[in-house]
Amino acid sequence: MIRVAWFFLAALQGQEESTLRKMEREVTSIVEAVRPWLVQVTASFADAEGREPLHFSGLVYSRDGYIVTDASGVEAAAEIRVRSGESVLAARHVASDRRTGVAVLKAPAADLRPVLFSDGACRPGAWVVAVGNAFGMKSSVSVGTVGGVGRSILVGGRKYEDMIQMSAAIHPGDCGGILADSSGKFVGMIHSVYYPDSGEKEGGLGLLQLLGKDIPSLQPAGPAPIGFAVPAEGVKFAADRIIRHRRMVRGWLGVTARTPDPATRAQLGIPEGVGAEIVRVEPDSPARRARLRSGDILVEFAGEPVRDVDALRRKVADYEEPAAVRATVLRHGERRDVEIRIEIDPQR
Amino acid sequence: MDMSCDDIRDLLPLYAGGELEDAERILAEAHLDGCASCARELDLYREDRARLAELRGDEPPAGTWARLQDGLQAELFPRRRSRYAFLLRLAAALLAGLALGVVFHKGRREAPAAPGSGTHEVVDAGALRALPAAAVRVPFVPVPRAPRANPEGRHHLPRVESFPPPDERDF
Repeated sequence: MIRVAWFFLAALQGQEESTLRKMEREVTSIVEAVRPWLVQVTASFADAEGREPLHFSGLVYSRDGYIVTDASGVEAAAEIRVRSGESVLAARHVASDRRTGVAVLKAPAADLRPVLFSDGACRPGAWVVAVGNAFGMKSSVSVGTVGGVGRSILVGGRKYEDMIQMSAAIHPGDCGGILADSSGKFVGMIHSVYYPDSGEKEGGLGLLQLLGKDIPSLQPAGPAPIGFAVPAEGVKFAADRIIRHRRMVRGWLGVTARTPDPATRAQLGIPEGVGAEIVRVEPDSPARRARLRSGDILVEFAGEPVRDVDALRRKVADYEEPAAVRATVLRHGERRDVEIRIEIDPQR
Repeated sequence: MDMSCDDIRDLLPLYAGGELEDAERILAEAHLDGCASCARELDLYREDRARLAELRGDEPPAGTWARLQDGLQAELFPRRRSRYAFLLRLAAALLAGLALGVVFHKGRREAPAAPGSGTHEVVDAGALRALPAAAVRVPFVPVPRAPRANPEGRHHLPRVESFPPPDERDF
């Protein structure tokens, strides 16, 4: 009995695994699960400027061939090819959503493996695994953490909101690729990268500068790049709407708004948890036609209190067709009822 | 090894013409994807080439070449201020003087025979005056080739330009 017990204990000790090995095993199993969701996308152009083909990534959205990828890559593409495994398929661009940067393609496929969405939202500090096609290298992997959520960025003159900021290294070709959480579920679509300006190159050897040599390896390294991804919730919202309507459909008010700051609340006597302040009104928009103004605080919308700007934005976006809505605004401390005709986002 | 902006600018004509080696092309693309300034340079270069291709054989205005040469000279060989420049010039002058001294000294030691001995070469002074003036120093400018798209394409990853106010939402 003692010998049996000793043998059993010895066997257990031999199986004890280091934390690093466990982590490695977790990450590699996530990569193996995520890889089948990833495709390579090539967009070719036929314009007079002779734009060169673009190579990047996409993710499988449905078994029957709906692919989600980056909208800027397929914009004005004459031909789109999708490679999944060993198959190369000619894909059609169904539509794009300019607010999220999501494009939906349709490839003639029947048995693809679609992404599995995470149950929860990304949280700052969470581990993420990025899988893409960096420089054409299939299923390139990097690991990092979520640096922040709800970020706003400007890319190509266009604003994107609600972006996930992450430290996982991404490279040209990764755009449209997959961001997975520590349980191997889809949490975001790789979108863009920010290269911080390293500024004036200080130091360096005076003699080398004198001789006119500029040896990059002797220059101080700049800050690390920062990656951004479209959150899974935004991908799903856009993809579902595009697949259902064959174009992007979301309600539109035509304002820039924010949640009132404490000083504005104190001045106007607005309690916490109430209101969205209009900062700008777009010309030729529902808000302009309803005579809303910069400084108005929307406190009620469609019969319900406005909690904050994000809640109002989601409520407006939910509309799938034009609708007349009653709202209440605070203007110079006075309540006013207004009627607003919500329209469909013109995607401009 | 990452490329610097200066490296890229030297290679822009070759990159635009699709004539870089694969390794250099990848490094160049990585830099262009991350540097709005160099990407803009590439666009401007391509625009200029397209415009040049449209030019026909009209004569340029008088003085065009001279102004162009002056501009190139100033841009490619700027006068750099450096606290070592004076010392270097002095050192160069001393070395040149030393070299001349050596040559002169050797020349005197190997002085030709007395006149009339027929061992030295007679130089026609008139021929010396006819020598052309010092050649105009024209800086080397790589001749850009007609740009054409790289048929292999490039790898796509948009660049973030800036960060708008984080608390504002457009809808």
